[in-house]
Amino acid sequence: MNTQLQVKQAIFEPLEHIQSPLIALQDLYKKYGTKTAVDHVNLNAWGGEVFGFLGPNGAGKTTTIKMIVGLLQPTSGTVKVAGYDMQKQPLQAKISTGYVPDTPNLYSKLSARELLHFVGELYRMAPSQIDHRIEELLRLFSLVEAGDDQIDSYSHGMQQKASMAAALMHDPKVLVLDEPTVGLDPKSARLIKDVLRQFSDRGSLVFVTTHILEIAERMCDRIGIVNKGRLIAVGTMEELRTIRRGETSLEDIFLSLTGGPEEAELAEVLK
Amino acid sequence: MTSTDVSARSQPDNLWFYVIELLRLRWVITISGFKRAKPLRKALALLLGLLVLAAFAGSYILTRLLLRLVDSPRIIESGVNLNSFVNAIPTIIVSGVFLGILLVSFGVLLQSLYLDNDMDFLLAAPIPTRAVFLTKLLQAILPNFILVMAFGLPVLFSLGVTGSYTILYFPLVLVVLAFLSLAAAGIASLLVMAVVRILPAKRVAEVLAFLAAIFFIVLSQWTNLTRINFVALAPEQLSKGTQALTTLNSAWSPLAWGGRGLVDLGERHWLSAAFFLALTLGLSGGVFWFAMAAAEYLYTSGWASIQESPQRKKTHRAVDFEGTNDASTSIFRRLLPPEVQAIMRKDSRELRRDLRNTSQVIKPLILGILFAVMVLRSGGGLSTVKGETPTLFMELFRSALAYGSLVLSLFIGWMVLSNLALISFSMEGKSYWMIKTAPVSAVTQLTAKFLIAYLPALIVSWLFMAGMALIQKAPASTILYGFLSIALILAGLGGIILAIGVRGANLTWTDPRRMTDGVTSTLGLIAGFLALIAALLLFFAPPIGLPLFGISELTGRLIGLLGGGAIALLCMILPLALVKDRVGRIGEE
Repeated sequence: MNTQLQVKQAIFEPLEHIQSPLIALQDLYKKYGTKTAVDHVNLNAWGGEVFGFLGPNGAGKTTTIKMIVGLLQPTSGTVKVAGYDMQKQPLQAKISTGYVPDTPNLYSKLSARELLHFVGELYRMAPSQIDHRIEELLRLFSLVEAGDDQIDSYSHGMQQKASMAAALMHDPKVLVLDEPTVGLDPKSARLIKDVLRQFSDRGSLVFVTTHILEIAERMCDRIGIVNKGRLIAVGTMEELRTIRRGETSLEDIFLSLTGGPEEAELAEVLK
Repeated sequence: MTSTDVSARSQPDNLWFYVIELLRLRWVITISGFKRAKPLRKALALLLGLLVLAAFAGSYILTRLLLRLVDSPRIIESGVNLNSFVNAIPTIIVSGVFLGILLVSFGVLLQSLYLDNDMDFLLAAPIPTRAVFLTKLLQAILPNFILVMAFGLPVLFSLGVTGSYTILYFPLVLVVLAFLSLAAAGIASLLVMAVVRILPAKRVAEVLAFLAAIFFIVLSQWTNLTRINFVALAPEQLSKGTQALTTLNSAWSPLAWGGRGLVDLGERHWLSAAFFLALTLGLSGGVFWFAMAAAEYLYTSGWASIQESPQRKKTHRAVDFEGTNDASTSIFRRLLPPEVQAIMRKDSRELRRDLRNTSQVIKPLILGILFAVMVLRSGGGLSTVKGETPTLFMELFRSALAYGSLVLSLFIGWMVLSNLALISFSMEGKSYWMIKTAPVSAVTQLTAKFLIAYLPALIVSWLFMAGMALIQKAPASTILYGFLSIALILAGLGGIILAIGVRGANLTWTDPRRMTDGVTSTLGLIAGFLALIAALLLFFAPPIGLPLFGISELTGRLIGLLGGGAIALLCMILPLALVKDRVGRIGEE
């Protein structure tokens, strides 16, 4: 663990203080046919914070994230990453972004080392820098031994870590993660949490979705709760407690904000 | 509903109840898939059904006609005795069914036991394990059994009708085939487990798909390669062929016992029929039951899930990324942006390492070798130009033949290009997010994808042409013209086919053989073929045709290169420019 912490400190260089938000969503709207997935969301997230994006299944979290990283085009509204409009200046915006999807669909016939090299070249890193960075990340995520094996021989956890390493390869200003701890063993989950905290401490933004409210409560500086495509609450834990008087845990706040007929149904099933 | 309610429900003990339920479930899934399929797919499925029926009727009629020929005066005069061959037909069919089901079941069971991911769900459900395995084996047989029956059953029934066999023969044909199919599937299940213990299931599937692709392409060209004319077989050839097949009917071969039993039954030799049929059915049933029980034990005990071969430890080679420092690599590095090189390197690794992708390149190469052999055997076709053909046409034909190997090389290149360009974006599959979230423009992606399809096609085409030119001792000027025109034509074709690949990009496939849908493949094939014809006219009509009007061939070649080249370059750029915006939206539907 000590070795890993040393590595983490070495690989994340401090960023200059950035005044403007690293992610700015303005009136973001996405419609699939007749279904509204994201409903006029406005949100700013800043460097140096871990921003938790919570919501029930089908609330529009993944759609929002996909628009932030440029995988989906919004129906209307704008996404700005590091000050660049994702629609108008996608290349500049993407340089600043690292993305870890909920399912690590990686190129299965490449090894982790080859995958990271591929990512380094896509982001136009210098060859010597690429090799150095690969070794750092493989060490950090305990993938040195398996670094030359093809990814299709990896377990889910190893693929998740390889995906995380790929997102960190170019040392982005903004790291967007969709359910990063799903399927990880406690040690790996702890490592990911440590990396994210270290990453934000040096001035970067971590934008993360999770269903594990305990993680969100402990890790996130600010939390946004989305329900049925709409952002219904944003703030620190203290601010959210103020909104929902009497609710002390994030779980209670979350359920009271997003709960409804589903809650009653769940209780009925579990009787 | 409470948990008490669930446990209170009585569970039937009957094994077959669960088997029928599981088969019914599979049937419901199939029907549901058919109902939700696109109209074109439905029409194709119905057409396939009609073709199976037609095959059934066709096999029956053809066999009856052929069996009548056995006693025809011409056959008797030729001295060929076909009676022993006719008696061996059931053995040949039975052996074919057994081996066919064995091979196909291997692939189906590999998929259903290891790659479909439903085994854990089924084994965790309150269903007897035996029922799960029995259903899996039946699922492996049923579709193939129906197809095999469409060809085999009519032959055997026709044989029975022509030979006035006893009525018992007909139901027993079905029983014997069904038992042997079950035995074949049982053996296949054990083979799958033995193989998967050594190699990962995914790798086995890749190898299997690769071998199947190669097998079918060689099979499709087999008659051309061996130059057998089935219509004009010499009596000695016919005699040799039938004798070879008759050897399958040896009494020592277990596969022959079923066939011999059926013939003896048909001819009312009751004792030997009972002996052979009892032996066949008993042995098949025993093999099936033993194989199923063994497979069930090996699977559930975990034996069939643990690989025995230790993984070869690879040593990290940093030089792999830096590449060699030879001149060509250095020029390549200077000319192309790193993102283009990265995508090309990644694609080439994926194409090489997944044998199902590799077969996309290998298939045209095999075809090319077969075509080359055929052309060389025919002596380039010059021997056919003789007699009283007018001089003008003689010259025209000779000129056209001089470019024949060039056209053949282009054809091979087109097939490689078509296979690679159509799948270029689809092959990204669910991993495309890595490129899409990276700062890589549509032009960069198109450049990389174009080159990864174009360069292998160009190299294969050039090598093929150089080889043919050397063998045919073609003049250097023709070789040079060939190299230039191939490069330009393939560039034009690459632009058109890649654009179609972008329009039909599919990122949701799980089997690489289904990367492109039927519409995209057909569109790519038609567009590519038409463009190839147009290119041949543009590049080769001037050097072949203009000398007839007193203009030199060199001038014709220059006209071909300039005119055809300009249009080829336009075809390369314009379609890609039209789909450029589409690249940014791939995967968003």
